[in-house]
Amino acid sequence: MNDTRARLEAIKDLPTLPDVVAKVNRLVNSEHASASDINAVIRRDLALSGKVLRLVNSSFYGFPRRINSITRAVVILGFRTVRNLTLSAFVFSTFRKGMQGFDARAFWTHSIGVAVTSAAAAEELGFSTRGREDAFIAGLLHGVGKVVLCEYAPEQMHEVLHRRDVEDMSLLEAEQAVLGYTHADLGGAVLENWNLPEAIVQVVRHYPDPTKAGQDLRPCALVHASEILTRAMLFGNPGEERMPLVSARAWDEIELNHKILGRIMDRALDEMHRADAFLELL
Amino acid sequence: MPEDREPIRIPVQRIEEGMVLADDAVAPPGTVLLGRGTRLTARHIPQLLDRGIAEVLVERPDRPAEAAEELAPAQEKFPPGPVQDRLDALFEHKRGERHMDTIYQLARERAGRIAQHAHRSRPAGGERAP
Repeated sequence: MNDTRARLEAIKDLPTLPDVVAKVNRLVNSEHASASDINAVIRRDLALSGKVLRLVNSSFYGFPRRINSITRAVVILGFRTVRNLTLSAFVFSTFRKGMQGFDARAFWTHSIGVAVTSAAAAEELGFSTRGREDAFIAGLLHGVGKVVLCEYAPEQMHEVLHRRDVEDMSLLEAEQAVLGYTHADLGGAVLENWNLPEAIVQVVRHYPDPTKAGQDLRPCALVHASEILTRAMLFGNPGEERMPLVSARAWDEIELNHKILGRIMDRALDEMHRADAFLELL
Repeated sequence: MPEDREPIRIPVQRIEEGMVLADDAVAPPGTVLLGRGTRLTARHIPQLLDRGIAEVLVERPDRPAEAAEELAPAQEKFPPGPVQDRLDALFEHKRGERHMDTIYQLARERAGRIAQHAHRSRPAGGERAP
């Protein structure tokens, strides 16, 4: 673990959040902010606020009337959702670089699928509103380490993909072999750097193996399962054609069974048709 | 114009080769993606869906008996065959593993619905042109 940390620190200049997104995050974390405080920050970035409003007004949320301001969006959707949409708009427009053997758009499409499926699963499993919101954003960002590697360590990522293909390894195995850490370790470090809530950081860091996630495995187990379900629903592409095995412990932790899984898939398939606004930002 | 010759609004997934747009297909925020009169092909379906257009207005097909309800449902427009092949490949070495068979079975049962968005899914390789 300490080895991993040391190796991660060797990647200099981990991506930072732009000022506007960082401020929104700080305001939401502080829990003393008002809707107009958030509005005052986001509207400084016209492109960003435009994207957030597009998501807010998309069929994904399906409000009957147009929401014209960030203030109103915060009042209706809540602080965390607006923070999550701001983050989504930022990551989609920033990390779009793939490489030979890794299609960034297909990767983000997969990530949107995991976000939608995680939220659907959280709903089916009776998570709180906060739990559902966290599940969505953790699902969306679960693989962010992969695109960070493409952007910040392209030679190493190239080597990872080469090992994946030549030695017929999973992506995680190839990362561990080449880098000494995985995209999940890296993603966790990046989100920690961005001061995202610890609950989200933990899920991203441990989603490949939720048994390492500390006391509350449930949020992590949920994204772990949703990631595999998204692959099975052929939505986007995570960057490999090989299916990971489910963690039986994770499965038991959230008491998944045939019936619940079917309901999660049905809900996710419905919702994915409404997730086009997210795909349009890619 | 007899009533049954009026244009009909159909989900994009139900577009058939050779159908003709009876009105512009407009993508938000207001750009015309395909003009009225465009003769549609299967290739247009992902283009339309990708731009957030779920339904289009098309001229009624020339076959006189073809009523809107008789247009095949979306599942049949996208034969589930290729999806089942991909699922078989994906789960090839995982069958018999605890829980994996369940997921495989559930996905197969939903192959038709999965096929409706499978155009968004691409193989892992390849940089996308900007």
